[in-house]
Amino acid sequence: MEIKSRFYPYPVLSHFSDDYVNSNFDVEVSATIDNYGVKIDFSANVNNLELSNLLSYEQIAFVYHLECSQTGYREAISTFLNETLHFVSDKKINGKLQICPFIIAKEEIKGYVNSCFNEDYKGFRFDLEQGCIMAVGKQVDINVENEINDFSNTPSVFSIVKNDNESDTAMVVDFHYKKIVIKLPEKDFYNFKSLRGRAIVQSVLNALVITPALAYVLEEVSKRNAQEKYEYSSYSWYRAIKKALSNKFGCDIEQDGFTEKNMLELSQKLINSPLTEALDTLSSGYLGDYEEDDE
Amino acid sequence: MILTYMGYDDLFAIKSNLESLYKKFELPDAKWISEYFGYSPFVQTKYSVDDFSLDTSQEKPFLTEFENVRRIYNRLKFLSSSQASDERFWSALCLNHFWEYTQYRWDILSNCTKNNVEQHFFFGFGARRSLTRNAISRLWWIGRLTYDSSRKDPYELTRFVCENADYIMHILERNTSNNLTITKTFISALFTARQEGLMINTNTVGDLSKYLNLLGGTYILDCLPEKWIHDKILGKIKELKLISTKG
Repeated sequence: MEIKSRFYPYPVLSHFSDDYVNSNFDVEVSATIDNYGVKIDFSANVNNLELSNLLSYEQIAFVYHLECSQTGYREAISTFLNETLHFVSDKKINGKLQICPFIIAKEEIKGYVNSCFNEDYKGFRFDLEQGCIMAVGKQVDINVENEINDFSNTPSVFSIVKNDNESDTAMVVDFHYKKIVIKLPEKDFYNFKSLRGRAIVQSVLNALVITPALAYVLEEVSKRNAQEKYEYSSYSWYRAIKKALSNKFGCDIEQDGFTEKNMLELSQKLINSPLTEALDTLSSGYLGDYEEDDE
Repeated sequence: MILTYMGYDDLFAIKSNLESLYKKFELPDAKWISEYFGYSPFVQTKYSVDDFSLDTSQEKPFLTEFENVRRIYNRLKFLSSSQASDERFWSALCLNHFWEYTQYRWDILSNCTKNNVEQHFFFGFGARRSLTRNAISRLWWIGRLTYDSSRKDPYELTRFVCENADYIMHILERNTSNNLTITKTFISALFTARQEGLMINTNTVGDLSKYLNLLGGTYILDCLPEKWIHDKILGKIKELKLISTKG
């Protein structure tokens, strides 16, 4: 489920409408991910007298709708308490977990009226059925990665494969998969493959192959609109890059200002600026070591 | 048989080169895959099941759907949802044990296109839709979403959705299908309607799926009693039939 701005046949308290005045419904969601799943703390705050009263009479309830579209997990947690803790096993989720907070009617409410209704609704009363949405909070997405936890582990974000199309003589990057796929011409691929097990040349390979590929991907992502970026969030590589950019540089890939960034510089920094080490490796007689290794 | 999966690098090596490889999916077996890599890309999981095959006996492959859902789900029921949404696992089954079944079910020999291969041997759509389009994961997920152990015949609802490929699309490819209770209640209402003599066809099921979506916009269906959803759907079926009778 995704929270979208929509119209209801009766007033609903939400951040995207002015059906209510001087009222708020906010939920703070904090998640802790461990080896077994995700522990989610919900802390709800309702700033509206009538809704607070209905909550205390248990006529309405907080509902947290959890959904992971990748695994088909969907669950609604219903509570009358402002503070709630919930645990979801990692066997049920993988990737993005969407959390949508609501307040819903637990029973039929006839002639519902609220002193904070917008002027347009003054004088109206509404009959609400059980299950009707009465307030909508802000959606929170949590990324639960079963495999890729840290961007510094670069091999898990990229897949280097052979390009069977002989007319492609340059590196091709395709990011419409769970990982960023870097396709190399056959000869380059086998050279890469024979080198990648050698720790000493990692920085050289990162500088030659990973850095430009990542710069290209960042450049392409920066051109995309908010909806397209949201769709990318189903890809592990996107979530890993987003997290790394935020943790390392306080940079939000989804903000408009991201377009202004220098993608070549960012891509180097994301993989710990491999150029210096790469040039050091090459200039310190790496070739000789390589020949010795092969003997 | 020991169940296998593929590493991402090997999976993407094939998937991202389908433009030049898709014709190989017409070959009678998958030996070319090991030749292509120079090694077998299939890695053993910790799971093993008794050897089994899938039904390929019908002239119209869709007619085997129900039986094959049973065969797959009976044996692989133990998978967690997280495991059962992993492309590496399902693609490995399509590319290895169930190569011939995938060719048969999705008519690969007479319609060997890049898209057809990608959609049914791999995950060719978004995460959710791919689950019901990959040849083998589709069978498992139909089972997962319709198997009901509380019924005398746990596969009663499965049999119903497998009557028509459009039912599977309308009922199981919507977000509400992630809630097993909603899905089963929805199918159960269709069942009741049929028992009451109302004709159910793909148009009815399509309209009702849209109606369920609409309900989900106003109510949090997950919090409502099964009976409430059942009655709403049944009421809507009767309303639709009334309109079509008058029309």
